Amino acid sequence: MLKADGLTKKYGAFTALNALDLEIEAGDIFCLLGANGAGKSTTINLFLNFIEATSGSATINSMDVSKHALETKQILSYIPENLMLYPNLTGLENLDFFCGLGGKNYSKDELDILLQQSGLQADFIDKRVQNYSKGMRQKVGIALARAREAKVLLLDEPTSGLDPKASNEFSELLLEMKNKGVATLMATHDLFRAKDTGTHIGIMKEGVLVEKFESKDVSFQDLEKLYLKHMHN
Amino acid sequence: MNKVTKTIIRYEWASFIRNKFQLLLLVIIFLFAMYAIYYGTSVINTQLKTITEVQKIEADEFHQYQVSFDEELNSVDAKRKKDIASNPSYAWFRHGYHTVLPPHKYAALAIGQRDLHPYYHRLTGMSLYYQLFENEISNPVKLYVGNFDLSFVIIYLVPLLIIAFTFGLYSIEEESGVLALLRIQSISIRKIMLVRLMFYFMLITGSALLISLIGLLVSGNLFADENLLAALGWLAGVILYSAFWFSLMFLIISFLKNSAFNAICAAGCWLLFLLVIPAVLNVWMVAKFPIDTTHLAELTRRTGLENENDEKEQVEVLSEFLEYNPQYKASDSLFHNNKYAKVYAAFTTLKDNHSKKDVDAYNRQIEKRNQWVKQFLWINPAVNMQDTFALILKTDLNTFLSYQSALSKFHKNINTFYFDRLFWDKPITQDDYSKRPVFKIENSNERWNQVLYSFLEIIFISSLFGILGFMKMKKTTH
Amino acid sequence: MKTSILIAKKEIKIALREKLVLALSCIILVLLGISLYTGVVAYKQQQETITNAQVEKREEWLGQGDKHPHIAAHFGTFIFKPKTVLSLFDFGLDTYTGTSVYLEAHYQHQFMFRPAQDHSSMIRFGELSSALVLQILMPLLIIFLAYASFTKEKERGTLRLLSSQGITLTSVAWGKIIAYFIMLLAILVPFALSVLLISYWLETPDTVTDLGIRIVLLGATYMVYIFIFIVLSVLVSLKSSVSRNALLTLLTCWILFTIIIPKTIANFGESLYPLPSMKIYKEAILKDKENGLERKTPKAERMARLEKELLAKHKVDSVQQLPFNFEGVMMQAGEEYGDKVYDVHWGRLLNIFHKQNKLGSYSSLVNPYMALRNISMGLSATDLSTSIDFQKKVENYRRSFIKKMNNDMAQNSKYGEFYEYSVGLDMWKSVEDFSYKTPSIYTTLKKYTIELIALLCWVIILISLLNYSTRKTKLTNE
Repeated sequence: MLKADGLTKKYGAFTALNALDLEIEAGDIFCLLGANGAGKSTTINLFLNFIEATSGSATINSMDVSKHALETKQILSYIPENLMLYPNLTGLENLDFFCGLGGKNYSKDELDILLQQSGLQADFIDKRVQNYSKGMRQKVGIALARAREAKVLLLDEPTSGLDPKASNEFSELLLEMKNKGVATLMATHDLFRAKDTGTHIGIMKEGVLVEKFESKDVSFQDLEKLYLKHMHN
Repeated sequence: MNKVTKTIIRYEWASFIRNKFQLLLLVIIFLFAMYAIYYGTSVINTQLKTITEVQKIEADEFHQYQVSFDEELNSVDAKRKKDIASNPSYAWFRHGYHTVLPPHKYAALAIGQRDLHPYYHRLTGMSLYYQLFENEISNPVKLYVGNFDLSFVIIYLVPLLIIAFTFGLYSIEEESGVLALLRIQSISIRKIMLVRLMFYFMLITGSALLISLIGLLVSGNLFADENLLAALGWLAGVILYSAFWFSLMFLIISFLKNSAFNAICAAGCWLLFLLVIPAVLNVWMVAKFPIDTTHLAELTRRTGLENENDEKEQVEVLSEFLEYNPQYKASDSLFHNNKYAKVYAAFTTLKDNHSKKDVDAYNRQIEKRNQWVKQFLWINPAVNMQDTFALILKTDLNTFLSYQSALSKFHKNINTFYFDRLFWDKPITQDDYSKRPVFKIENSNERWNQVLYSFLEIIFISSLFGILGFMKMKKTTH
Repeated sequence: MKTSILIAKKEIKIALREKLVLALSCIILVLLGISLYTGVVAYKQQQETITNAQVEKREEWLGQGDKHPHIAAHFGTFIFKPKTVLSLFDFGLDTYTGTSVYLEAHYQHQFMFRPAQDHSSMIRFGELSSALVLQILMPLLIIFLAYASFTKEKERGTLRLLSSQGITLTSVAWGKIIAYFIMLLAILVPFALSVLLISYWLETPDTVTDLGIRIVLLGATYMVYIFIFIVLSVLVSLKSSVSRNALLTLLTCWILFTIIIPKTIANFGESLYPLPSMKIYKEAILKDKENGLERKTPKAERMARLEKELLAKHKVDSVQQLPFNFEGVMMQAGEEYGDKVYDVHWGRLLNIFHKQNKLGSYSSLVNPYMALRNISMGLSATDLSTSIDFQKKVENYRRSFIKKMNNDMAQNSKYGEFYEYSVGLDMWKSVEDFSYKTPSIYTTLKKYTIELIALLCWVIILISLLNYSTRKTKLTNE
């Protein structure tokens, strides 16, 4: 579903991403670990075609993301680290708007259900987003991801700033996506969540993917040791 | 219109309604427009009142003359009245004919130059130029500041509204972080921006059209002959002017800079078009085409002959007069009758002939200035549209210049009416009063060509900005 | 204080690295240069024309040959309104006031040829004078400089950093204000010096009084105005949550101050205190001259009364026996009564102007631009009160030379002799050439006490508000 082939991004002399080779299949949850500036967000931005690759290619469903920008966007969903919505519209209206943009029109009841399923409290659904906390906005984002029925899900530090309960709800979303056959790429600091929910783990350091393995092949302690080893080098 | 577009519009409307600041701005502009319509109407009504008064004065005066023929000549006063009415020696410089440049029904919307140039004159057979340059009373401070009429609201204030509503169309999303969600849509950012821009275009242009319709309906019947075309011209102008500013904003937004940059850039453009360029052009024009009116001051001096009794001088005056007016040559045998009156009449008429050179040079210089300024109009749609509004409603400078030339023609007719009788020693009869000269201005529809041309200039520059913006804004953004 | 200076230094360094600020400053400098240059060219050109014309008319007066003094009184002369040297800086109302007037007996002519009438209609958009650049464009530069002064620090978090080191918001605010003020003085001071030098170099003939003081006061008031805008911008930035809102608020203020309020007030004043039409005005004067003020004493009656008085006073039976020419005395009496009538009507007219403009003066309490605009025009001697003062002095000159002519006729000619009596060059020479000096600076400033108080109030209120706000604002966890 998701494929990176020698994907490289350079800013002048600085290399943000160095020849990334990656393949994520349907039903996989690939967790990218790494320090700040390691290249995780760059990778995601490249798949989203927010930036242009210096060399190499990123493809979604065998379509190159830069050549088929609009078609690839049709089948993906994205939740950024700090999801911002239109403050003057309610959660429901925001969801309706972004769904509508994607060509999917749900009735008010359906949107209601989507939001509640994503864990948003019922009495906040019709309140304006300017009153929402970060976690609540995140839930709207989750509802949106579900609503778009995307085949690919891209997540950038989705659990940062969330309390444990919200984090847990998030894991439930990931599992649901996995069961539906969605290919997920998640950049995160959360080692626990990566091992717990992810199917595959990758460690990035200074733009290079230094480790790549299936999460069932390591234990929690091993993962931690491996991670720290690369961080210290 | 597909569903996605409908969604965008629906939610843009929701956002707009909930933005108190934007709603307030719209309401304020509306209130200003109402005041502008009220003010413009009151100015034009004052002018109409003056015109009525002035026409009544003339009607009364000539009625008095006509009636004096039938009255008993038993008092000095009555005799004097009849004299003035029937003796061309007195009548030619006493009878006052009012020429009026009536305001267009819709002139209240764009007062133009009606407050600066005189719109009525009282002409007698005396020197034309002496009477031509008289001014109306006005407060220089008010002239300097200009009129708060509807054209001011459309030309100056509506663009501010457009800027306020659209400068952050992209940048605000980016700064607040919502942009991320928009960028992952399968509809391009450019398309989203265009739809939103279209929404505001409809909203603001619709409001401006509504305001204009109110102004038009208040001022006169929309479907009356000369009004319909003017009304359509005005409404078309409003739409085109609005389109210009929207295309400009689209270009500015397409650079995808932050809100502050967009706002400053837009404010700068507003200032450029509405203040800096015209201000610079005005001083440049004066330096390039200086006009010296000190020679024209002489026109106001009413001179007489050096010595009324000097035969030689009288003959000189009369012979020169005949050179300009050969139609009276055959009457020269009658010159010894009523000599003083004829010589005086000839003398004052000659003054016009002598001054004609200076006045023509003055008018030519004004014409040169006008022509020179015209070539800069296409790069300045604001000035262009203001001029076009004035042109449509006949309150522009050229209308006054044609009024002035109609005045000259009319003055000639007046002179002919009285001099025919004066120089042929014929009295004015009561019948003659029904044949006296009447002032007419030609109603030409030439101006519509100029209006169309201006519209095309504005369409051209709007399209230019729009296309540049369209190309600059990439299909997807990074 | 020391911290403020440190902060000021940092602010200046940062500002000089901002491309937008540098670009805007360059634009303003260029516009100041252009406006100064064109102002000087216009001044020199017009001053030369006027001086030449005045000399020509004086020669005409002196060279009119021998004639009866009353005929000379009708031959009259012309006065051309001189340009004051500071008009190169602030055009004021010069474009909208008449430039020449004809002086003759019995009749007060109006000033004619307002320069705006021979410009194209673009004149209504304004002319580029240095005053315009400083009054309207300079505040925009200040806004762009200072709108983010606090909001940027808030957004970056550097404000909390400063605060955590024990630096008060007050000293931060004043540091910024000092920095901006110094940067703007860098533009203003060299410019003011140029104006000073050029004015002294150009100033012939000497019409403006207290030139040096005027320029110094101009510099001071413009500095106060700039200071007001700086403090306002910093204050708004302090109270705004985001940069964008600060910018929008300040731009709205700027539009209100420079365009909307002045126009609304002037238009409103005209609606509230309407002016008579020229026709009505002139007719009323004629009627009152003929029938006496309040219709009480018609001319014939007055003359009869005068005759009776003089006959009684000199104890003679007929006018021929009076020791002077009664016709001359009668002429002068008629003249003086006409002057009285004119004064009443003109006074009423000036009163209406005064009432209309008073609204503008009061509005300067809420509009610093208005205050500065009026003071600037007053100091440059291009305002309405200087224009009216000039008109009054011209009228007085007219009255004095007419009186001289009539008195000569009364003293030196005999009753009944008209064409036989004539005077020559000596009499013409005895009428001094007209020369004008503007009212003293003290007189001028008295007319603008409201505006001066307004500026003072603005400074005091803004400073108090700023100090109050900086003490009260808490840096919450935004």
